Amino acid sequence: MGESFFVTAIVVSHDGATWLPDVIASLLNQTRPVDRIIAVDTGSEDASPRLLANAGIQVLDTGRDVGFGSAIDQALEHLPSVDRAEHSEGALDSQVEWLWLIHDDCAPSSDALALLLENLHDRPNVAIAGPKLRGWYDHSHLLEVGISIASNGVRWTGLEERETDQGQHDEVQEVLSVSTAAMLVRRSVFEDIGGFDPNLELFRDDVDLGWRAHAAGYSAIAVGSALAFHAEAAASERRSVDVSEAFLHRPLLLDRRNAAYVLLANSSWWLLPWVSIQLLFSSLIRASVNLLAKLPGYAIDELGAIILLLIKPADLIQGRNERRHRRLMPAGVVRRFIPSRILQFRHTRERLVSTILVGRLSDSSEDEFPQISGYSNIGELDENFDQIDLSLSPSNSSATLFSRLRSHPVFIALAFFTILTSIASRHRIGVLSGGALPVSPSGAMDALKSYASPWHLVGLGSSVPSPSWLAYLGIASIITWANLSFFIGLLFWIAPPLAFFTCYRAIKRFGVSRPLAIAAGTIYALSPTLWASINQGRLGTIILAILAPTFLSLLPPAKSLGSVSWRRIYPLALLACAISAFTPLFLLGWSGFALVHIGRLVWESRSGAESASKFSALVGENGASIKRWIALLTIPWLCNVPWSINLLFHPSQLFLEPGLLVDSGTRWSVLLLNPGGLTAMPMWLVMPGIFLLFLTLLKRENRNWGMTGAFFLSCAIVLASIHLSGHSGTSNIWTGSILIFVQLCGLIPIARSAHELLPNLRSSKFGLGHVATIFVATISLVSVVGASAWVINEGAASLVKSDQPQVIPAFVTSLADTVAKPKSLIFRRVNGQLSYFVSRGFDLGLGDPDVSIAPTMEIQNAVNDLVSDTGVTSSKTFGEYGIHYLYLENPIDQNFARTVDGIGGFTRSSSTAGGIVWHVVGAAPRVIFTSAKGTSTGLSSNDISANDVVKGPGTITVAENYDQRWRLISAGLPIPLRHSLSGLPTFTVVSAGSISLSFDGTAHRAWLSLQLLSLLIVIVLALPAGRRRREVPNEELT
Amino acid sequence: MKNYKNFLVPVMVSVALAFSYLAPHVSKSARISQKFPATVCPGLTSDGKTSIILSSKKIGIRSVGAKSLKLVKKHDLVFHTSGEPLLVDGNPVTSVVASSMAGNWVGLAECSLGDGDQWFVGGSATITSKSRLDIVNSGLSDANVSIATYGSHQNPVLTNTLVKANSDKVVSLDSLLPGEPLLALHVLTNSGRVTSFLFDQERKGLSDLGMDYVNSVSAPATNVVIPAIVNNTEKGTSITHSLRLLAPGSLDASIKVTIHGQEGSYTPLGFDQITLTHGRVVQIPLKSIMESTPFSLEITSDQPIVAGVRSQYTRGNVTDFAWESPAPALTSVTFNLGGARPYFVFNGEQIRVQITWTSVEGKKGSVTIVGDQIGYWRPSSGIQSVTLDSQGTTTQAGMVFQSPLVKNFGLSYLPIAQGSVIETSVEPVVNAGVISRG
Repeated sequence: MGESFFVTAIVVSHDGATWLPDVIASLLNQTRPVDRIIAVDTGSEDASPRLLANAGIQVLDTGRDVGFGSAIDQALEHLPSVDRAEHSEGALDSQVEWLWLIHDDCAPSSDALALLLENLHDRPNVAIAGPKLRGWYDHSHLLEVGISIASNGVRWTGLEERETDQGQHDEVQEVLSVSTAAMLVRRSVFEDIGGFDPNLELFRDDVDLGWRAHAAGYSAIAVGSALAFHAEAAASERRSVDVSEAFLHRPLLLDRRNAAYVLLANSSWWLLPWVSIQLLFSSLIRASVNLLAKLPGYAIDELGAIILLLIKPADLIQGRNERRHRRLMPAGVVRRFIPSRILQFRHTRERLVSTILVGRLSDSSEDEFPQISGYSNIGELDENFDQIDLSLSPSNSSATLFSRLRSHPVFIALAFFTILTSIASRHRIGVLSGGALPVSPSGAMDALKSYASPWHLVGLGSSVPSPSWLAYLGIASIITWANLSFFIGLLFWIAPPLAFFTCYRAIKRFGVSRPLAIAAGTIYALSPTLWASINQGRLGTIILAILAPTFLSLLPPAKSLGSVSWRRIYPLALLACAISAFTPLFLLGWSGFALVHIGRLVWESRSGAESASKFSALVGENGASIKRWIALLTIPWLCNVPWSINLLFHPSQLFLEPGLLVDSGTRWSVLLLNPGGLTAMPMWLVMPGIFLLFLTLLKRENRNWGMTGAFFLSCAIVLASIHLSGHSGTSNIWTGSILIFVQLCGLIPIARSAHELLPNLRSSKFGLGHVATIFVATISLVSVVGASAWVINEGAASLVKSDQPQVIPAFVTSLADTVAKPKSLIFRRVNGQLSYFVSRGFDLGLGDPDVSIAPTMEIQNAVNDLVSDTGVTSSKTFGEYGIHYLYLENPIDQNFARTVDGIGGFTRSSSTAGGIVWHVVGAAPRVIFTSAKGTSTGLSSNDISANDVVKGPGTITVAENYDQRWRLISAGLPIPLRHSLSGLPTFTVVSAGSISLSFDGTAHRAWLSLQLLSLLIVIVLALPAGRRRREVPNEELT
Repeated sequence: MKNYKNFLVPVMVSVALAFSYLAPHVSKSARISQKFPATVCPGLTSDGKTSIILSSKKIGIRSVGAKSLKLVKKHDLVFHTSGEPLLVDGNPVTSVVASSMAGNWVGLAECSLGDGDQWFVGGSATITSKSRLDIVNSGLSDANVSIATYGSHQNPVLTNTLVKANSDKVVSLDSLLPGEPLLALHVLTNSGRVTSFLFDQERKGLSDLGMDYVNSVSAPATNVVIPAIVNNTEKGTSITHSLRLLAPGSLDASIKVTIHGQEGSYTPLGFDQITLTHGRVVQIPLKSIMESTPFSLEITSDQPIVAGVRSQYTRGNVTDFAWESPAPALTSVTFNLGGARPYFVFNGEQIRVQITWTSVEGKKGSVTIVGDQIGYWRPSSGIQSVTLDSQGTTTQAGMVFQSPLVKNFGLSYLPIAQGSVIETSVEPVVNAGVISRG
């Protein structure tokens, strides 16, 4: 007596012939037999109906577009309920019918039903039960133990990615719902709550059913001891989704739409706005991620799901109404099953890492250079990197820390360089400036705004495009919470250990042993070039020193470029783009290198082809290489517009490093691979680089490296003797960026040769090899020790220091924000020569020297006349250009001071220990209106634009450099731009009214948009690609 | 060759080294700028005609006091003004101003910059005097000027005056020391770009008695040379000379006057020792002059003095006068004669002056004047510009001028000096590092 269970199994099949035999067999061989079985075939086009019929199972045929829920309903119509309750001999004897819903790709284990029913006896409130689901192909892969839904619509199983079943979920647990793949549901409850929602033909109907069951006062359990093996054919796109709801038969679209429907239909009404926002936001994020993973279809599905739901709100409204009538408990009754945000975040992160890993693995077959793994292998352990480098062997846990550290010399080397740079940087703690490095803005946004601005407030104004490195630095400073000055300080501090590390890793990729790689990295990180760059504030060369080893190690041999995958080309091009932004000389060299190879390949193709058409080279034997070279050539230029375009029109800028121009060394120091200059290593401290370069000539396989290095060295020697003007200064060309590559051209091949040679030396007689080895080792040791000693002593006294005092007097700075926007002409003795520049009231900032242009000839002549005491009208010229102050900094040139005092037009404002300030008599404000009668009035002005009202016709003159992009709108009409007599931009206004002055940045914004788009495209192309579910192997999926 | 690549590397490096030595490259050496400052020309004769004689038609000029500060090229060598002072763009040639009145009288002055410290020996504040001092501020700041007026019977009178930027101020001498017949002025610029000109004009009723600019000297000296005293006479004319002296210091001065002329060097009777009371202007007639041609006058003193000679020329009832003032040591001066034929008189122990000229047709010529103590030269007609280069010992030069604009006589004197001295300076360089920290 008591309750007995009657189990009706309903199998829904849809092209499931692949799995049905196993499913049928498992159903028919249950230890606790199924009481009746019926199958519903939804228009299968394979042998599914025949398989079912052959097994003796009653089959109902329906249309192909009938969903799962409708199929169940049709089955129930054919099956009368067998529930009964009889009183017999004073006891209630009842029979409860349970429906066992089975997917055509889910095979329960033989004892699944028995175990499920066993756990129902003592749980009268349970209306839904389900087994633990494992993978069809990988039986150890745990798929589900009950299901839920996250607040963003994600199907939540609570399991880790690719979790293996080890019995950790074998208990019975209360869940929101279980998958309909093997769901056991009480028929009476099922029918009471209305069965599956007709708006959910496929996907998420299980979650919805469970939610409604809970709301009706029932519960659901997952019985961990019961097993079923599920292929997830529909979700994994192994078969088409043909339900009527499935727009364009897209399963992800249907799944997302249904997930949103479930949340919106079941949530409390007052939570709907919040749920809607979460759904929309998460859709946007998932769409973005799918775009990055090059899965635009999935991205569209994510967004389309929300749109589909929104354009048919009637379904949602109807669903909510029905639930309201049947609900006994509040919707929040399932809150405990909804995962917390922290859990969701952790899950998302793990999935992302997993996706990237899997994406990398899918491309590894394209790798033709197994000994060189690139940075496209994000997340993958570098086999050359050798995990034991960073982990202490657990087998030696009894060894002391010292002995363990000793066996991992990379740590020691890193520690050494960290200590070295910390001591050397003792004067560089704080906001850095000095040498070639101007003071940086504190915030990244300031740098980005400066980069995006079409007009720069440097000197008399400049429309030169900002260099891309300014934006890259601003973005990179995110790691220091957008504090750019802190980021730069950190960069200067971390440059030596980082350069060591990248060189070490790069050389290891060439198959060199760890000790030799460490030695090479040490020599590299103690090179005169790197330390001269740090001491002189040469930001570009510092970045190059860090990135160059990686770049060289990723660069495939030119002859084999055609077989390199595009996914390796794009990251290489991105790296070239980043290096080019910081070192224009690299852009020049790299472009030349690429053009030479393109030319060679085109020539080979055309000389080999019988009838060479114009583009035959692109499709011929060398076509793949040529296309890749074209990409490598064009991407750095394209991703650095508009600055790179400016370089084409001003090619001398290709030879200028970021920042101010600072004199560097002569040809002789360059010959010794020492770029020289103030605070550089002394020439006598010869590093082994030059010897290594010449040693490369001794071995045939190294000769190309040697030739290349010698070529670079020759170029550096020539360039070092050339003086160039630019960045509003003059100096000889800095060759440090070339010397970086010269060093690597010596280090890499010699390290490789040493790796091959050293084992042989041990077993061979004393000879030339031994001598060379001893010589190189001695030189290296002496230079490393000497360089280290220099670095911590004299080397710490660099041009770059922290918290240097402001140059512009404070009161001049305070006037910078006034309406007149006064400028100041600053005079100072630099290297014994009287020098000057126009200031806007602020010291020169990061990026300013790169966009500054020399003052106009009018100003230069006026200054020359002033200095030569012939400048009667110099003050008038200064005044017209909005220069209100002259500042002569200490040490004062007394003759010049007397000249300014006597020549007229200047009035002394102050004389302090810092210097003398004169006020320019009659100086004009930044924007001045001169009426037809000749009276002048200053107009209110912002930094660039100006808006004011004029009271009559006249001329408006702007005290900025002339540029044809200045625009003036007066009374709604554009006014043509002219030159004033002094060369300033001027406009003639014909009537009274409001005026609006602006600088037209349309073209600049267009270039920036092109740059952003190019970068995004290349980044996306460089990222690992996602896979469609149908592309995932079965074994990997389930 | 088997291992040719081994040799390629040292060859490449050697070629690079050689190229870096031999190839031209932009030098970073400083640039020297040499410019002539703009000079100022007086314009005191609103009731006469003033002309500026320029060296080139491409030189820009503008009026001091005009609103526009732009220098305009007049495309003419002789430019007539309406009496306002002018600013002439800096150029190596000294511009000369010639003022004339009623066809009889002429005065000459050099356009100059002035060094802010000028001594004028000449002029008067008597009832017939129309003398005036024109203080020209060519700069763009207000100028503060001090005027010390010396007379014959009183202590110097000190006057301060403010001259607005880009303007001039005309001060009548009779407002400084009314009634004083013998005047010497010390004009000191305290601030600003100031050049002063003294214009001496005498009139009796409706009759003009003569006019001339009184040229200035920069400082008193113990050895004063007036290189050219007008002494040319024609039939029916007479000329008298008066020496005006001032010892501005705190001590009396003892002086000796020496004449250098064609007849030799000698001291006129009574001029071998003259005591000057300090701070008092003295005027002594120059008698016993045996010269009949222009001569030089040298004054030696035990105290710094300033001096000038007034030469009065009379023909019938028409008089004119010229003020001769000391000249600085001659170096190299170029100016435009405008076709005139003045007398050049040189004074020095060993005179050796190279004179090169260019005629109006463009022909060039040269001559070297050699002499002891005195030398003369008169150019032939049709000479446009003249360059004088002194190659001997310290030599002073003066020019006795008869303007071609004047139909009668009209004498004047001009000390030969550079209107403006070339200013040599190292051009400052544009360097953004000036406003960079560190």
